[in-house]
Amino acid sequence: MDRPLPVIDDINRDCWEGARNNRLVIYRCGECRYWIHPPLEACPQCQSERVAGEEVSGKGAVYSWSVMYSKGNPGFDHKLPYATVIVELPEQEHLFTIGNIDCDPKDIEIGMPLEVTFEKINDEVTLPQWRPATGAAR
Amino acid sequence: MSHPFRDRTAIVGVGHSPCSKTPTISPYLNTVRTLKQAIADAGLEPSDIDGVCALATGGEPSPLDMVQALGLPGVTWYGGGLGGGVGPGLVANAAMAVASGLCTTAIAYRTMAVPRPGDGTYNFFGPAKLGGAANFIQPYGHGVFMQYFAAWYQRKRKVFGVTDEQMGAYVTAMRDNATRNPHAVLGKPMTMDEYLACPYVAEPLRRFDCDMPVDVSGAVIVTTAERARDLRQKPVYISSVSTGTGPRPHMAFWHDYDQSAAHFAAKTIWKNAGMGPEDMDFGMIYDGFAPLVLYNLEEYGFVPKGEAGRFLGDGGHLRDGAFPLNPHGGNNSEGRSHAIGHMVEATQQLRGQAGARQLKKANTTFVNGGAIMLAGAVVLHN
Ligand SMILES: [Zn+2]
Repeated sequence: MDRPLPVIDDINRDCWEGARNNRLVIYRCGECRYWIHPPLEACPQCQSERVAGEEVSGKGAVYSWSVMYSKGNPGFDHKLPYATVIVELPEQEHLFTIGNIDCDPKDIEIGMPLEVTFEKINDEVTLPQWRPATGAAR
Repeated sequence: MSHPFRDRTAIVGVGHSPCSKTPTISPYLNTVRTLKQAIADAGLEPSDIDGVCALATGGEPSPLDMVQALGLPGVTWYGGGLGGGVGPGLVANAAMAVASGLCTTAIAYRTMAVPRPGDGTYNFFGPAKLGGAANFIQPYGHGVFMQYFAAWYQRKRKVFGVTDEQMGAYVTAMRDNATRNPHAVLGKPMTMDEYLACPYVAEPLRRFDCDMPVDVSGAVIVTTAERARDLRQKPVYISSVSTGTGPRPHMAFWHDYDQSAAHFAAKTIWKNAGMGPEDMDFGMIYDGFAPLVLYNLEEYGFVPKGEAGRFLGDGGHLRDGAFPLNPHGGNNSEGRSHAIGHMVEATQQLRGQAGARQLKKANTTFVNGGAIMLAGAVVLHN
């Protein structure tokens, strides 16, 4: 079984269109400027319905992670063990996204600087992914 | 001034089915038998029950199913909602309904079942077609429940220095406690070496950190304190209840992994009880995933933040320790009941009916369910 792919809809479209163009896009409130992820139809801070995607820096840091050893996620059983990371984006405190990471799971540390990469799945879906940041200049 | 809820209600009956790792009778029949057992334990008749509180998730029979099954002639309250960490949250629901006069005698229950043929992969959150937050989780292979807990536990370990040996001290103690519990499915002693050799399911979470899915049903009957004094069993009074959650109630995208839902349930529980954590003789602490004990001990004030690992490593939780935990072996060793087993054991301990498990000092206790996203708590005394 292949891994489940996102269903692109009016709520999340900006994220996936961004990723298709190799840009990390996160929804943001047009009124109070709060970043919202996963996207919602109204801002949880001010309830404004004026929410839209904006490109972010593409930087992040490891907030936490786990290494999966068990079957159960469709499309992933042949990859065991693999890591999933909770990535904190610098744009807002505790603004989290989830991804896989291109490094040995033994090298992952909390706070480790990351940068986004893009994994093209098909013409419609590209997944933002993560790798250790290459050098302090980035 | 005393909180108007304090000691207005009491637990007067409990029921607890056997636990089984393999399918037994239907969840429906398991619930009917367990409710009958609780009603008999209280010395009541089904017609005395006018409140029913349950969650109705995962194949559990709904409150309406049980109204019909017991032929209840005059129900004036049924509810449950998200359940505030389930067992204790449902008892909270029942106690509030009784205390506020919406009904006089309410039964709260939780029934769980191992997967039957044709059921999906256990605890995978994925529908065939994604939507909502799942769009941003499952394409990365992060869709199994225990991965959420593993990511929380990983951070707890790294930020607060929790060790394998400290978690092992908890699990091995639960196995030892479970040797005295005929219901327990994991009732054999375990050594620290066996714990440390246990493979990961999702690192850093080991298989032995996870409770075992079982067929089980548990039930708790709550009535007014006045009525309780005339019934068969020694009343177990409910001093206070609480539930809580944080501002972003999703386990993966939660607003702050260092501030769990228990933090919010803890805000009112002690003030309303008129007692503090230091007044509790023992703790019935939710442990569906063993590391949840760390959050619960810290957030409810039994140990300072960051000290729960050391408390376990020092054996504070043992039967003869400073603050014994889960003398029945917890969900960790008894089997997954979403803390309804904790509620039943708390009641039996406070009645002095816990047999080989009976603690020397058992006049007050704290029971909680959940920890990370949903939390509920109950303070009890005899
Ligand atoms: Zn806003």
